[in-house]
Amino acid sequence: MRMLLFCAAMTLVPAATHANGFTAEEMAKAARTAPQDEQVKAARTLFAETETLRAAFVINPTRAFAALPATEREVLRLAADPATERRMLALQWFMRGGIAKASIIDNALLSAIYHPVAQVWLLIRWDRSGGRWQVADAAFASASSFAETRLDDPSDIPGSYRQATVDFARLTEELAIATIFGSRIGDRASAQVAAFERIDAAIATLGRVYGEPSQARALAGLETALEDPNAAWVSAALILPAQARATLAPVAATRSANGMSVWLSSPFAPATLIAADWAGGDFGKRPVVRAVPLDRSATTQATKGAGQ
Amino acid sequence: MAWQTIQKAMALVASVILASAASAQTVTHSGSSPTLVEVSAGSTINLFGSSYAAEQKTTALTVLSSEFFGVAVISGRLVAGKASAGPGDVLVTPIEAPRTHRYIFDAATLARTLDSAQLARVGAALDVIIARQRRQRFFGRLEPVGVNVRAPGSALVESIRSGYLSEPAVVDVRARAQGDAAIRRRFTAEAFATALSMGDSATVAALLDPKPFTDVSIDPAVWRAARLAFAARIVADGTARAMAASSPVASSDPLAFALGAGFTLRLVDRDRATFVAALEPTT
Repeated sequence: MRMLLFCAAMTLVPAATHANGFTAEEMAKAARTAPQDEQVKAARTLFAETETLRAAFVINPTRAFAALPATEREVLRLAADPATERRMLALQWFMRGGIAKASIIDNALLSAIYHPVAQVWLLIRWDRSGGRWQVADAAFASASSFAETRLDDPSDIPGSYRQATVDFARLTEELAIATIFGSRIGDRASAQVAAFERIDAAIATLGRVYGEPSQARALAGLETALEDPNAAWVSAALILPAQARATLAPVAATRSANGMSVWLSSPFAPATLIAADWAGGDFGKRPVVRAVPLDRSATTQATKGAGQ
Repeated sequence: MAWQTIQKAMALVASVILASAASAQTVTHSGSSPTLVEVSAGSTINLFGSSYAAEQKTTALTVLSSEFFGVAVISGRLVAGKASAGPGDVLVTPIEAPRTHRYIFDAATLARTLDSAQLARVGAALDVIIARQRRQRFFGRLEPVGVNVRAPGSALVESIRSGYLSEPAVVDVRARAQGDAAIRRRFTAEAFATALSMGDSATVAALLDPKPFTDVSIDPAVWRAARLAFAARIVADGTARAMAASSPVASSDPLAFALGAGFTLRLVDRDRATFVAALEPTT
């Protein structure tokens, strides 16, 4: 009898301690109980600086340039050559759809913004002096200059973003090489030209959508609705804060057998893409609007408001 | 017989693996540190699916990094496919592309990474190689290439990456999948389920997504301890353990597997490997 009771207890105890598996959030919460490194804290601050810079250029690149201290303005002017309105708009498009990464490796303060659709990098080296972060060096480079992305299907926009996020985990070394030594960027002027050729080519796919009047009207209607909290047919986007909805803009257009999808992004919601699907390519009807999360492995998509 | 027993006991203390003649010896790494292996002529070392045949009595060190595994020959001779290695040579195999190549290793650098027990066994043989390499360098016949197989990237980056990529469970999955993402995900799900059902918290920890932990600390001792502690909690989950006894079943989502009737195993691809991101009750 004593033996039987002992066995029963052995069976019951583990089941009673925790019987819910674990979510990614629970694992992250458990991880945060470990002592945090000063270096990790500093990298987070650097990431925030990079995102602030990115957002400023999305909202108004001209004003963002003007607001920079002279030395940083000169560094970014050399990197982006924003002499024409077209180049300024390309820079704005790049910043809107880019995703940021910051790292502090061997005391080098580095961050990068990568655009998965154009497959172009903006590499930034920072200095910290006088209590503030300053852009000390910056360069544009196409991905093939030093780090090939591995995309099975370039038209899979969420997949491209997720893969880029995964690749970021191993890119700190390349960032260090590229920004400090410049060895794999090579001639910066040529790298800049190649990078903006890619950006222009990616923008051209959207340009073709806007070039057709009915499609341009449909996109304009979509963008207006996204700012309207009462537009039920875009309610999938309501998971985003108002600031993010107001700054959503197209980053890519893809065609499939089912029709056309336009993908929208905002620097204030970097973990989510908004997809607008026009079934059959019929731009006379309202699209199905989906919110596609990028910050976790699950491919579940929040689909709401499939109104016609 | 008594002598053999003593020899084996000493070998265990010194983390040395001994293989009897004409046998196949599967090397098991307890981490990313080099493992000393001694094999007799005719026997074979198996390392993550690659075989290294000993043509003569051979002493070697198996090494493991985020991108490669290999065997550095201290004495004797090993053959893997068309590649043959003698003292001072290392047979290197990329984890995801099982083609073995022969290189010369820097014996002085390798010697600095060994523990005292390993040095006691191979120090003299390594000294011979070190002296020979010094002469070859002096006469210009040998030139360092500055590539560290055990740390392909910068030291700090590699110390972080090797913390999760050099785990034997992860290397094993990557080596068997040979770069096929779908197979790698299935193997990861199966390895996690097996480890969980057996209550193997070390392997469960090795297969957990490292990012939440490396986001908090880049010190491997800190973040790995936190991951191991979390794995211990998972292993204590009796219901999940019971479910893990069944084979994971693929779903329409390539990164999700059903585990029994009650759980969904969610995976994440990270840094050329696949890890477990969540084990959620199926709703």
